[in-house]
Amino acid sequence: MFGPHSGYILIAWLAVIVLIAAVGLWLFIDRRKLTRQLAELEAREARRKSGSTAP
Amino acid sequence: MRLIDLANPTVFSRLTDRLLPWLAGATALTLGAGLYLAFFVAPADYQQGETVKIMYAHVPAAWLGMFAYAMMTLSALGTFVWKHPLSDVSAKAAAPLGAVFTLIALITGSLWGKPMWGTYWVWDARLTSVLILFIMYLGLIALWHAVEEPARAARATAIVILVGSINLPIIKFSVDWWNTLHQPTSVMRLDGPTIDASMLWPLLISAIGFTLLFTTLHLIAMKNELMRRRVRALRVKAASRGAQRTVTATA
Repeated sequence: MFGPHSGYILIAWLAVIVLIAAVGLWLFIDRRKLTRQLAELEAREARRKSGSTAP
Repeated sequence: MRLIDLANPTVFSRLTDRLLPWLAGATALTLGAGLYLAFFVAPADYQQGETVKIMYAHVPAAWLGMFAYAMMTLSALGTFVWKHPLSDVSAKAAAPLGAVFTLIALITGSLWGKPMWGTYWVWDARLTSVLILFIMYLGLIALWHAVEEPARAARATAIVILVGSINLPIIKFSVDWWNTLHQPTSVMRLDGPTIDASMLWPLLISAIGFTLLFTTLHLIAMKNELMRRRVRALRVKAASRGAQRTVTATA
């Protein structure tokens, strides 16, 4: 489709797609991990605060 | 809204939550249009043939590799001069993205070079200075991870970023200052682009698409970094309470 050098063109674009997808996936996984950690820590903090103000 | 209002992570987070869907949509549309124009509308080059299709990824990636570093330089100034709390967050979030776009430029350039120059790599000024940029990104990412306390890491990396910014004009003008196998600038020239309009427009639209993609990823990475700092702050708080209890119990 792209002449005698189509292999180079396809590998180049494939590398672009793979690298950008890898960054996107890393950001997504990082976000999920941080959201879980933050929720746990904030819940612990809320329990501690409610425990300390209890009579 | 003033710029200083964005220093508040909650305000920043709320604003990016509203912006991100629009940005993602605009990115998909522009990148799709750029790809369509590059592959189905733009003609083959009279000398390079169809290998010129690599240009539509290589050139925007190279621009973004440099743009990310220029942004980090501004952020480093923000850390030192204006002490803006989001400056370091922005720089730290941009570094891995800059590294990836620089790596894309290096890989696609090398795959373009083989059929055109007969070699994947030469140690000419342009290629070498871009490789140095990539290594600098890796070094900065390592430095951010090596220094645990964010404020100290911010100062240390800001100094390295500012010193390393000398590489940006070297990359830009390397093709004018030295004899390189890499072709001279053909788009950002004072006397106007030398590239034909039938290739220039697909290239510019592709570049806009890649820039929007970078902006989207950068905002997501900044939000992640803010969450990481909040997690760290809560852990430090919990640890110091634990230490205080131990001291009280032993006293």
